[in-house]
Amino acid sequence: MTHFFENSRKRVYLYLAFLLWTFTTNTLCAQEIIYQPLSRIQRGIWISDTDGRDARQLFNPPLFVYEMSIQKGDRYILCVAEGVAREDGLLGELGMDAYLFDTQQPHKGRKDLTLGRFDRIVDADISKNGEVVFTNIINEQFPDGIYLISSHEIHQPLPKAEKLFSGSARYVDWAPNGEEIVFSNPEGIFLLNVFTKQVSQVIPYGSRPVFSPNGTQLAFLTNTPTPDGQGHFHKIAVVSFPTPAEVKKFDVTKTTSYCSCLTWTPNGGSIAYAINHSPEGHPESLNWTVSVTNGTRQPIFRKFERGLHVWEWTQQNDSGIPSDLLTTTWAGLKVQTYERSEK
Amino acid sequence: MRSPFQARRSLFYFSLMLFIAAYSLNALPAGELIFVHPVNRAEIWISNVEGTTARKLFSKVFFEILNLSVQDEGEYILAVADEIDRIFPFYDVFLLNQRFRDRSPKNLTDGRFGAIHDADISKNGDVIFLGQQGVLLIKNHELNQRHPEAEILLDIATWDIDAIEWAPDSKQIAFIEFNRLFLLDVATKEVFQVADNANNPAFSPNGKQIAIDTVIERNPNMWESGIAVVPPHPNADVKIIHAKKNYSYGRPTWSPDGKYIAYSSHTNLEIKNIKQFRTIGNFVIPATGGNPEPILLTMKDNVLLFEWADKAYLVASTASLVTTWGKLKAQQTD
Repeated sequence: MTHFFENSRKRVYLYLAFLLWTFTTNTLCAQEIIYQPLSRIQRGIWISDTDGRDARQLFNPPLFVYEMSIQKGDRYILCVAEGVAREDGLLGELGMDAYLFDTQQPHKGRKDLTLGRFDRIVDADISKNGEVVFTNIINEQFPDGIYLISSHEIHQPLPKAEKLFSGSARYVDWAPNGEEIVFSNPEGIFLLNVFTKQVSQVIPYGSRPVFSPNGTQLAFLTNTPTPDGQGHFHKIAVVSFPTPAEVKKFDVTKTTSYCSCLTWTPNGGSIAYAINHSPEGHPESLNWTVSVTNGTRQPIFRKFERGLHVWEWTQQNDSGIPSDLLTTTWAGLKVQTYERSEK
Repeated sequence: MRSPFQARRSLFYFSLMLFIAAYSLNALPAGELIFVHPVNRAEIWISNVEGTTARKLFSKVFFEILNLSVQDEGEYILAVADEIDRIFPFYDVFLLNQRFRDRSPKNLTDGRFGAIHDADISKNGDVIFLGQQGVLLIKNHELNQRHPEAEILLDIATWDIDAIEWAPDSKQIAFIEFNRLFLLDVATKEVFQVADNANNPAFSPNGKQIAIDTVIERNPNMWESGIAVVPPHPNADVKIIHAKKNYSYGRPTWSPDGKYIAYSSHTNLEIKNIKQFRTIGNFVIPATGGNPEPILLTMKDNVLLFEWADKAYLVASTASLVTTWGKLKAQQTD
C-alpha cells in the first residue's frame, strides 16, 4: 500500500506538471507569424507557422490592418488599421488609428490608442519596453510628426501622446536599444533620439527603414523611376549602422506593384517583403525574402491563399525560413506565374 | 494615549478630505451625455463628459435617428427616427425608457401626423413634436395609450417651424422660424419673438436663459455661427459666448447645474495641422464664456445629437474615484 505522503507528493508533482503545461501552451511558439489574412471571411488577426499550419485566430476586430508591429517577447501586437463594415451591416470605426492587442488577455480585444484624436496614423512601432511611437499626417497630405505613447500610458482610457518630432514622417522603426527610432520622409531616412529629440539624417533617400535584429544594419526601400516615368521599380537596400558605409541594393520588382511590409527574418540573414497587386480587382500579395549576403530571392508563405499583405514574426530565433515544399499549391502556382512574368 | 473618540474624529476628517479630493480631481463637469453615435446613427450611447465611459444605451432599434430629447429628471428618451424595416425613410416619434432597455420603443405617432422633424419631452412627460399640421402636443397621460391623442398647439398654416424645445416649467415652448427665436405660452397660445439669427434653442435648467447657435455671417459655403445665450424676454439682447471666423457651431446643451454649455464645432477651412484638427469636434464652455474644453474624446467624429442627462440610470457618478459599472463595461468593450 502506498504511503499517504507519497500519494500527496505525486499529486503535487501532477499539479506542478499540469501548471507548467498550462503555462507553456499559453506562450506563443517560435517560428510563427502573426498576420491578417486577405480573405474577407478569415479577417482578424491570426497566428500560424510559416506554412500556415496550426492557424488560429487571436483576435477578431472589425479592422483592416495596414501595418503591424510585435513587441519583443510577443506580449503586445500593435496595428495601424481602419474600420471595415461590421457583420451586422453597420459601419466600423472611422479613420486610421493605432490599436493594441494584448496576447495575454485575448478576451479584452483591441485597445484603441489614438481614438481619432490624430488625423491619419501612417505607421506605428512598439519597443521591447512597450513604448509606442507613431507617425501622423493631416488631411492625407499635410505633415504632422512623430508621437510617443509611453508604456505606462497605454492602459489609460485616453493615452497621452508626447510629440517627439514636428514635420514630415511616414514610416518608423524602433532601434533594438529602445532609445532611438529611425523614420523616413521624402527627404530620406533619419534617426531620432527619443530622449534628446535630436534628429540626424542617415541617408538622403529611401523609405520604410527597419533595423536588423542586432541593430547593426538598416534595410530600406528605394525607388527607381520606370523608363516611361509613370511609375517606380523597387529595390531593397541595406546599409550598415550607425556608420552608413556602402549601400547594398537588391532588385525586388520589375513591375510597379506596391512593395510593403519590409521586415528582417529573425536570424538577420534576409529581408522579407510583400509585393501587392490586384489582378482582376482582387488584392493579393506575393511574399519573398532576399538574402543580404548574396541577394538570392526566395518565395515564402506560398501556402497562404492570396499571400500576406501584413505580418510579423513572433519571437526572435535563429531558425531560417522553411525550405520549399514538394507539393504545389494554388498560391505556389501564382508565385510561379509571377516569377515567369518577371523573367 | 488618544481616546477612541479622538481616533474616530481623525478618521472622519480624513474621510472628508478624501471625499473632497475625489470630487475636486474631476475638472470637467460631472453628469453624463446621452447621444446618437456619430458613426452608427442608429445607436443611442451614454458617456461621461470625457468620453472614457462611452457605451451603448440602445442599439439596433432604428435605421437612423434624426433628433433626440432626454427627459429632465426622468427616465424617458424621445427619438425622432426611421424604423429599420422601412423601404423609404419616414420619421416617427419613439419613446424609450432608460430603466427598461430591453423593451421595444413605443411609436407615439405611427405615421398619423406625417413625417416628424423634431420632438421634445418635458419634465412631466408631455411630448411636443413637429408634424404635418404644426406643433402638436401629446399629454403625459396619453403615452400609455395604443394610439396617443395629439392636439395642435400651433398650426402649420401660420408658422413654418424648424425646431422646438420645452421650457423647464413646461409653461412655454421655444421654437425657431426662419432663424428667429419665438416663445409660445402653452396656456394662452400667445407668441412673442425673442431674438433673430437663432437656431437650436436650449433652455438653461433654471429657465432664465436660452442657449442658441446664432448666425453671424451668411457665407455661401457655410453660415458662420457662434454659441450665444439670450434671456427668454421679448426682443432680448443676445450675448455671444463663443465664436470664431470660418466656424459654425451646433446643438448647444446645458450641464445639469446650468454652469456649462456643450456643443459641436465645425469649419469649412482646409485642415492643415493638428491644432486646427482639434478645433473641430465636441466642446464644453462655461455659460458665462471662457476657454472651450474638448469632450467626448473617444468618439472619433463629431457628435451632432446629444443632451446632458441630469440623472444617470444604471451607473454611478463619474466623479468618483472608485471604478464604476460603466467604466468596467467601457473597459470590456475596448
